Amino acid sequence: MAQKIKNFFLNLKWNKKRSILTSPLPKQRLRFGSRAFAFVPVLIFLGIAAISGAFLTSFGQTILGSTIGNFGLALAVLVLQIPLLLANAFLSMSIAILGVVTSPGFISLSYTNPAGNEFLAVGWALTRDLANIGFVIILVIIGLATALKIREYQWQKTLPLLIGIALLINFTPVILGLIVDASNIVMHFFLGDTIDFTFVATIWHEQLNILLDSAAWSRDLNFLPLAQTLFLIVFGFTSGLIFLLFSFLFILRYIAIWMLVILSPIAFFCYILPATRGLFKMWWNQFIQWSFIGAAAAFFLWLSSHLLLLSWEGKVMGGTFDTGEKATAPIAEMMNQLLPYSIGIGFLIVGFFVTLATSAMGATGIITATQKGAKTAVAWTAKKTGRGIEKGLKVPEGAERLGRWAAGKKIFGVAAKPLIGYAKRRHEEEKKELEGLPFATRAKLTRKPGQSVQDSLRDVVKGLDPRKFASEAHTDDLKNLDVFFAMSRQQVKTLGGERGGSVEQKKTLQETLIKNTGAILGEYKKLRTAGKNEEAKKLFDNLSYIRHNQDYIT
Amino acid sequence: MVNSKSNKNYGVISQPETTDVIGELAIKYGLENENTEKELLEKMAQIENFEKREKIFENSPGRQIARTIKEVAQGKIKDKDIFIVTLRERLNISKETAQKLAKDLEEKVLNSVQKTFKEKEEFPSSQKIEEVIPLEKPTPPKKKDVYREPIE
Repeated sequence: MAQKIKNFFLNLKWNKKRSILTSPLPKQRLRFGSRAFAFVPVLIFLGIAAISGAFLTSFGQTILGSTIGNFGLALAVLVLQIPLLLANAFLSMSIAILGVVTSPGFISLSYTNPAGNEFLAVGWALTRDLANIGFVIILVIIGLATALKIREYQWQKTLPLLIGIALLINFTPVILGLIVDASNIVMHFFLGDTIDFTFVATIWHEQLNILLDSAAWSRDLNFLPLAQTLFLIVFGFTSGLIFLLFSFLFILRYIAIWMLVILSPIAFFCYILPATRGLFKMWWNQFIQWSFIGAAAAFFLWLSSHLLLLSWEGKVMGGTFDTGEKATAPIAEMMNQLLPYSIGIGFLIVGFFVTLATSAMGATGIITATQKGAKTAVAWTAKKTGRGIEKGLKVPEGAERLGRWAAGKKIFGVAAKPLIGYAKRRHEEEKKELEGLPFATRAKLTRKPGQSVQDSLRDVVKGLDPRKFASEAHTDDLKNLDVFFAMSRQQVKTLGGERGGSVEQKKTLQETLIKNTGAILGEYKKLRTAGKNEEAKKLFDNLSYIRHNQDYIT
Repeated sequence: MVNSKSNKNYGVISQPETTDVIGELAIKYGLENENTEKELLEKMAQIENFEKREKIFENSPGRQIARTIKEVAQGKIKDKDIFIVTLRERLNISKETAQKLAKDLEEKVLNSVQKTFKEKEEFPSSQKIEEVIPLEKPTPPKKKDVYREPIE
């Protein structure tokens, strides 16, 4: 964890962060024309914030101001009661589940004894029989190995093991039962002494006080109820989640031990041959870890419960925060009330991760699954939001811009796809709608606000694939000089090429050029004056191409 | 005309690169320069009559080279000497220059253009080239079986 935090700070690209700060949308920054002015929006924002802050503070100190302010805060607290209740319910549910899961009578089926667990009896009997069949094969292998003088497998080494394992296989439930019972004794020692966590939920008694506080009239602005509410929401969900994770761990322990007991005959059987001995070791490690993970988890639960109880009794903090100073009083009050609980829950979180550090196979899966679940939830929300935005945005350009911006952000990344996809679909639909229409008509239909038809026409031509251009250009389009001005070299080539334009098209384009030599020259000069030398060169290059190309010759 | 698509196309024989080569050769032999387009446009802009303008456009050296190439490819000009003479007359250049230009054009443009042109004549684009599928699968020659005694 510490390494992760360290890596985060080491890999932080400050320039990138700064660019985010200076402008939320990259395209907006470009509007300022220069990077030098990129900080202007930040300054404006800070200025507005400072002025409004000063105004609110001075206004808040007046009776009217504080009344309005407190009313707003009370309203916010009231709205937040719904998530607060949900957090409360979630925490209570998690505590209840943990209570059930850790109780001795949770599952009546035995961990290791097939006589007390039918599921185990069926599974274990099958694997035992399979192992017994395997002994015959092993005997053949030993025989062959001895004949071929393979030292590792010769009967002197393997046969005693085979006989020993053949006997032990029938007693695996007893052997494993000893280990599990030992771990269970330790586990139940801690769990038995663990104080019921339901008292943690009593923190919600604060809820009523918060409501009353927020409703009470005060001369000063009172942020405490809002802060307390927010803290309680976070506290409720976090602690609820950690209790739930512990519950899963205990449930998973049952399943894992059953599976390992069922597989035990095969695992013991694998011990005979050197080639398969690694499998036995792996199984053994897992069995030990899964047996004692319960004890480790119970130990941390036991410790945390005592710590939380001390917090509840107000014995954790050596001293309390000074609530005398008027400005900091609400914060100090809140710290006094809630910090001890946070320490207890923090301890529980640390304990959970330490328990997982036993590296029992599958135990880490709980946390991975939780992380995946959280990611999926965030992704789902982002996607839904994206779709919502998508429906709201009528302009494909807007959707595309927002999508491209979102693509660069971690959380919003998922929303980027539907937005860009929507923009593309809209573009395609528009293109299809426009197909077959003369370029001038398309230009009129797609003209952006404030854009001239001429510019729009050039945009239409520039946006066309050369083949599309050649197949869709009407002879009337080619009479328009703006089309020629916008034509790319590739479009000129394709129009003259084998699968390009018709005789009529080529003839028309050539005639247009000959008729409008003065205008072409004028455009060339205009471009040169504007410093658009590349475009000016392209104009003459296209003309030169037409002149030198045999296909344009009638 | 050239092929079945002639009602749509002029009978396409050019390759984009050959067009560029024509422009380069026109400059190389001093027939055109980087300002040719500008000069040509200025010249044409001074004239109101479309036909006269078109004549100037058509008579430009690069255009004349392209036209001559097209005629060679179409078989209208068959003899090399005629090709040189045509170039000389159309471009108003000396015999030596015409010969050199003809050689360059032959090497860099004509081969490619004629090849494409012949392909077009032999396989008009509307006609599909059918793959020749052998009727019988050829059987490999029998190897001598060294493990068996020959049957008398």
